[in-house]
Amino acid sequence: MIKVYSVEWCGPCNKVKKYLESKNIPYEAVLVADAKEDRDIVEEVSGQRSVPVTTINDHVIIGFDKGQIDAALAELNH
Amino acid sequence: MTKPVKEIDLIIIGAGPSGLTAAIYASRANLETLVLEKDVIGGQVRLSYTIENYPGFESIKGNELADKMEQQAVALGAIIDEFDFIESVSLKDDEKIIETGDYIYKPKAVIIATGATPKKLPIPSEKKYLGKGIHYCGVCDGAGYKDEVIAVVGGGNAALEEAMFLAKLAKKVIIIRRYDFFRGEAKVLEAVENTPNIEIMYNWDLVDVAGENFVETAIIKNTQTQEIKEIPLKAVFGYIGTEPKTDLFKEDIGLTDSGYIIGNESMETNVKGVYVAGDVREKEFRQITTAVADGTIAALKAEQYIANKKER
Repeated sequence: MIKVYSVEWCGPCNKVKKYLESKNIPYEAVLVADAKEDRDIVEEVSGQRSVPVTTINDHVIIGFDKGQIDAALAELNH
Repeated sequence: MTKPVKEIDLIIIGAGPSGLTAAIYASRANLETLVLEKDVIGGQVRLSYTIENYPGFESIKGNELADKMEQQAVALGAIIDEFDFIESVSLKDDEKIIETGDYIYKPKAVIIATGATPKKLPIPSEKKYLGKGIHYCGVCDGAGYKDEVIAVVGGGNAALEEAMFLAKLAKKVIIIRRYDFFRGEAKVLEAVENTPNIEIMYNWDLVDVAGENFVETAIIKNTQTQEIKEIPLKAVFGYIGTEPKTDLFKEDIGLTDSGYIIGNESMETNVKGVYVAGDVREKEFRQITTAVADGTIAALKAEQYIANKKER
């Protein structure tokens, strides 16, 4: 399962989502803006507090990083 | 596998306000126009919480203004590709080649509108705490510091406006300012001064941050007395200005010592058919309004250039 930890109005977050959608890849968007507890998930998952954070299997990708997303997706398909 | 070669009228590199304005004008002139964007469409505007100095909108959210500009360009026929990244660029008077991950483009004219990116805070531990208390995007990462004490470093409008935004979330926002004045607009400063949970520390400079895994304190130095002290806080947001994104062009295009592209009043660079627009251009004022003006001129000049080429 692919998860995108994000806030609604963050440009790079929406870019990650758009990229996955452009490749017809389903994902779960985890909104983390509302409560501090929600936000702690980002820290738990990625060891830092910036969004977006994308998890693809064991891969944890911070920011919009096309190269890393592609590499993780390629692994997923094998 | 060789990449397909595509001939096209105009490539605009960068989809911030200047690039999108150029795309609007070029599309209205029926030029086949492609905009390439590596980061986010809307550029720095999309990363701003509110914009209050763009005519026609008393106050508008950055992402809304970015959406409007994007939608207008796309509705007029411009194509924006934000996922095919540029690998190399060769810009000569007689031939322009832009190679991306998927294509080799041969445009008749090029507008460089790559903009500028926020400068990193010049402190020793910047890398160590990036995302762990050092941040550059308030609207993205501010929510992580709800009810905490945080700081903003900088002296322009961006710093003041971000402080206002962050003050809605944080318990307290400290603005660390190395001088005893701000460069931002008087109206914005007034609003900041009237926000009860913002404290301005004039004549203090950020020296470093510290903490176990995440930022726990900022080390600051008084620029007058040289006194050094630590203040407990959870994050520092940096807004100390921007630097140009011109690495791709340094072989072909004339740059200043600080890396900005040299363009004349008609947005022409040293290469025929290559224009520059927006924050990446060497100039005194970098505003959304000056960016859209640059984009307009660059597109009109590109249109002239392409028309002359076709006539020959």
